[in-house]
Amino acid sequence: MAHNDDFNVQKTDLPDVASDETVTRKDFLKKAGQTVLAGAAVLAGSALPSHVGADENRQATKTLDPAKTELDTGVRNVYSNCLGCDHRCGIRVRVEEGRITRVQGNPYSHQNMAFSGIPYSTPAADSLKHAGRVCLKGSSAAHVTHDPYRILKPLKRKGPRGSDQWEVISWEQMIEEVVEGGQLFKHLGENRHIEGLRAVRNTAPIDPAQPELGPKSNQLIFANGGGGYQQPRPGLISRWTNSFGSRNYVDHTDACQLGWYMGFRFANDFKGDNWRSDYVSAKFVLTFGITVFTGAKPGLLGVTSIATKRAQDGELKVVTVDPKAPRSQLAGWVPIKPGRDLAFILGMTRWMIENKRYDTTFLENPNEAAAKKDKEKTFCGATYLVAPTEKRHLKGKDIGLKGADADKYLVIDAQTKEMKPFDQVERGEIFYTGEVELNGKKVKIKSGLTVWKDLVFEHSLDEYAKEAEVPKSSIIEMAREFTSYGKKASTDSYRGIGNQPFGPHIGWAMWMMNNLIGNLGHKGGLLKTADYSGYSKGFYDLGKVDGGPKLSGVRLDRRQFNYEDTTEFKQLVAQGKKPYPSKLPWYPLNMRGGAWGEMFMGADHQYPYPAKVAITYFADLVFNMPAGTRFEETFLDTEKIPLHIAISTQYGMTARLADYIVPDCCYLDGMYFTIGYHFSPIRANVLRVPAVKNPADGTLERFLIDTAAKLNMPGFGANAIPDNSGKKHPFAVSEDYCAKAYANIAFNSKTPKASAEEIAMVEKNYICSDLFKKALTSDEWAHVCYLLARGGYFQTYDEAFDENGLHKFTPAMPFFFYCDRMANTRNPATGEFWPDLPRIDVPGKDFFGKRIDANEGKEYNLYLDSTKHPMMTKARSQNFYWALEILPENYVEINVRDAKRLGIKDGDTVKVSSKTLKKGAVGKAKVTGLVAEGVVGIYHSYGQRGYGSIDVKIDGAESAIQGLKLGKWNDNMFGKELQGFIKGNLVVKDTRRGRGIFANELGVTYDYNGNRIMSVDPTSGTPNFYYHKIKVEKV
Amino acid sequence: MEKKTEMDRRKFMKFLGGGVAAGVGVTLTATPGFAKSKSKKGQGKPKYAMVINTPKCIGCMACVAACKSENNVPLGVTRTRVQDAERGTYPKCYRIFTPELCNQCENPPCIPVCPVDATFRNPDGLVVIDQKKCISCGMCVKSCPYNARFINEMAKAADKCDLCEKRRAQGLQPACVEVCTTNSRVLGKVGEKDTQFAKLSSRKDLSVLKAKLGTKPAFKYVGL
Repeated sequence: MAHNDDFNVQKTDLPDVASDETVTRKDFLKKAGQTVLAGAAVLAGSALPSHVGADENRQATKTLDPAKTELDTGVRNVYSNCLGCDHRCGIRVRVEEGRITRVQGNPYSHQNMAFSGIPYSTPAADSLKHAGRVCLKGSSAAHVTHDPYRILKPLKRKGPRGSDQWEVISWEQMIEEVVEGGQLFKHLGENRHIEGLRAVRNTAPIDPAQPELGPKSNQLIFANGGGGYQQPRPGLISRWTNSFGSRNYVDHTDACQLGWYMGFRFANDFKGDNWRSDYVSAKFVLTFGITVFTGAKPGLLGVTSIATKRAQDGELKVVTVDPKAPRSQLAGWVPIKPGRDLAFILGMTRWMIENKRYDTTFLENPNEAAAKKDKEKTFCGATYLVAPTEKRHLKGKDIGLKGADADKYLVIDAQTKEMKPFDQVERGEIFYTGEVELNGKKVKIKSGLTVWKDLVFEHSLDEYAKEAEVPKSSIIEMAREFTSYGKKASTDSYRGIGNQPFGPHIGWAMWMMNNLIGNLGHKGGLLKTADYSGYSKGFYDLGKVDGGPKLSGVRLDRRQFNYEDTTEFKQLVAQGKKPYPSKLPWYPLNMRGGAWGEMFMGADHQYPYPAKVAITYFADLVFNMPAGTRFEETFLDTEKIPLHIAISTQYGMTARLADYIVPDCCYLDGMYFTIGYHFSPIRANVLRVPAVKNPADGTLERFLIDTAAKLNMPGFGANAIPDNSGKKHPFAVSEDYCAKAYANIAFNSKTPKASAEEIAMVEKNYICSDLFKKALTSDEWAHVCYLLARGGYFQTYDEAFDENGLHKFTPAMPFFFYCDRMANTRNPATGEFWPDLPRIDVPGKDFFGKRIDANEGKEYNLYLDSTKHPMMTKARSQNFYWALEILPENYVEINVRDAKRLGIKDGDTVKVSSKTLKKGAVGKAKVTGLVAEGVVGIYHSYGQRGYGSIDVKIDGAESAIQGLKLGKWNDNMFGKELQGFIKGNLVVKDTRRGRGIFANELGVTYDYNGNRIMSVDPTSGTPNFYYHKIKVEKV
Repeated sequence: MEKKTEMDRRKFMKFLGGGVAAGVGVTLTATPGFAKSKSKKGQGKPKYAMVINTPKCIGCMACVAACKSENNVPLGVTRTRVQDAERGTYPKCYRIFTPELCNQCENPPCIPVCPVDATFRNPDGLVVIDQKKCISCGMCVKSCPYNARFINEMAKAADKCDLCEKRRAQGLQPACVEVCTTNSRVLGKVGEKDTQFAKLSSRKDLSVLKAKLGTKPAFKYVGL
């Protein structure tokens, strides 16, 4: 690892300062408790409160200590894992008297150390002399954990749903009621009978006439918003839903990056995803819909540190193609409107093919063995023959091959010019056009690369430039740069490219540019995210659950199932009726992840079946989804959601619409985490343990365990976890499972036992020690301590590559120039096949082929680009008080040219409206050249109506809400504004929270066969985040 | 210590021209103003300085949060901030983020105005505050052209960046330096060789904030 020297913290030659001062200062802390504070000034303005003056009566010797450092006595240092966002950085949490005082980066964690962490074998005590980086979000852990608005007790609504009236109930009453159901709100005048979990857990079919719907137990729907892969929690929830008998567990992948994943899946026959640029060794990275300088995955820390350093030193060039400028002057910028990046990509690809700027050797390899000989990690489908009119690749059986060869792809051998199965050829023809006879008719066939060449040659560079609204010279310049660094160039992207209508098509086109230069698996190229040491097997089998019901039926989100296979479709056809459009869309191509938006759309229309109980965990889809307020209608209708249980630490916009709120731990007081970084080329398990005690009366795990016990569900309680000898262990508390998960990680990572000194250190500092020791043998505990003392298991960047510079974790998984499965899947609205190739006119369209621009009309003539601010994490940011004082509200970023046209000046009050939100929202204009012409930027995370920004009535508020528990530090951390914010049963809002514009509310909804649905990528159901039209007017 | 402060306080009241204005914030109208100060009191050269590599800064604000937590800085005030600005003409526009903190001036306006010598230059040449001496009159806060000082109401004293004095005493880095995502803040010993600080310090294109004021900040910037 070169280039990282100047990230090493220099320990020598630091100034000596008198240390006797720190001793005399200690007395003060005891006296300083009751200082009366006055109004705070804003950060940007004068720092002098107006009343301040010389104080004659002032007691001398008043001074204030900084927090105790990591080396002081009287603090606990705990290595853990951050959830300020979902990038999973390693952190070191400092705790003083039960208060989190500081969060630092874990120096063992390479993600926090610009890819050069301290050696894994470093004794834990020595590690305290080093510190890694952590961003503002991670630093805000104290605000998250100690938030005065945090919910600590089970709540039951005490008024109509959504009326913000609640009462505290006991844990036992809550469990009893949600399990047994009944007339739970009779006292509020609601006479309906609510089916509890017991009644819904029924193996009888929902509708015997439509057997594909599965059992009634599918009517329990469980939405996990807390990180789709924040294991083990998602695994524990699906353990529970499996045991319950419902297929309707979804995570929030659609709200994150589903469309981006789907682009890979179109490219590689739905086999894998998660390739990213190697910023440590790349020479050129062209980013689409992402900038790593803004906090996009893998986070501010993951690669930003190394990317800025290498960019400034001239080792790396980064250019961003995006509606918004990168947050670094070290990166270039090509401003572009949403959806137009496809034209840009096709133009680049055309220039690359025209000028033969591709890696012929890589492209000619038709199989892994041939690739290996050329020191390639993988191969591709450039030589594979396609029959475009048949919408598929040619297979062995098409030319009469039998047995194992019948299903193999065919290529033209470059030497003999014979057509052979792909695995029997060393080099194939990359450009080939010919004919074969299929079922008695002549059919044109082309090699994969010829299919692609013909696609990109459909338009001239001038036409691509015109469609992209980018100078032709930019397209050529980028294509030349991209092909000037061998395999050390790549494109990087994320949800920006994928989460829009036909975003997966755009992503596919972009991945194939990488394929043309053969950079997959090469150091400096495109790498698949590394894996981690498994946690479910080792000493214990955490995956195995015997005796559960058989899962069956279609999911409420209608993914992984063809509309044409439903009874409904077949009946319509049998009756001679037109089956299209379906009532709601079906998404057979979504093989990747949860679509919670579509699950609740299904619940909203009770299609294909009604939901009975909805459980939302750590979920705020109302706030986080584009046009998410559409779901307020769903949740407010007790016919559509008869029972809603929200498991949440906060009163967010979705929890607000619940019948019961189940309190939970925060990430630093009881939530565990077992796996690696979110996208990193290096292998790691970055473990999370509690730093402080959970003040809440409950957790997700306790809810799962207690309901499972009542319902006799397998997998929880006594004898739930078998070890390797077959002996069974209980799962009565979270640690029973998580300690064993960590033991398995130690087993699979082959970590040694910790020294006696380190074990003692862990036992002194880590509050989970007692419960862990109960769940493990003393041998296992010694191994686990080695992990805990270092915050996990970390391999280095160098360990991720073999001697040829090939990435160990990137598989030999070919990318194809034709996607048979997609090409043969029908649009549920029209019955036509999906566009088989990423053609220029594909983006921005709805199910019926109409561009959103046309749907919304000329009046709404600007694109909305709602992105995340680097200080914010979607719906869970309004208690990041340090961020709020820096940026109290968002603003309307409008391009200088548009502003001039509209007569808008910087700082003007403007109204932003859309066809969905005609009344609009009002904010301040920021006239800028950092957003593309025609595009308006409004940051997400602001304008939230919940999360401490609204008044709430709770009988028992004093115990239900955390309140101010930090003693003398309350004003310091939360401001004196919150003094006395709980008035009897009224929890008064904090006016600093929830300010600004709620950008998602502007999102497009539209009519689909008489149903008002949110805008999505029609092929996968990915919500459309980045293709919305709005209007901006001066007020 | 107690006695000395009391004496200093009396001296200060005299300085105000009265001795009757007990506890009244009249000092604020005095606007002592650094530019008018002829005093050479407090002049000196810090042994430690920072070079701030602004082209690298991405405005993530990690430094602000790290400083606030490490130093128990209350909401509403701060020891460091990052200014966000924009340059160029569309489409050739770019961002420039400027981290700001106490500049450790060689000619500091804050030292001469302190009536009780609570702000002074320590043996390392760093301008620091003895909060035990401070009478929170606000003179230094007003005098600082960099808006680097504030009254910490919990301490009832003037406050500003002390380069994490306590951390440095233990061989640790200041919070903002240690946490900086992009290593934009580089601390070093003036005159040291072969370090990143030395390399940056030797650049010819360094500048300081508000150079015209003659405060001679020891902290220099790349790319302003």
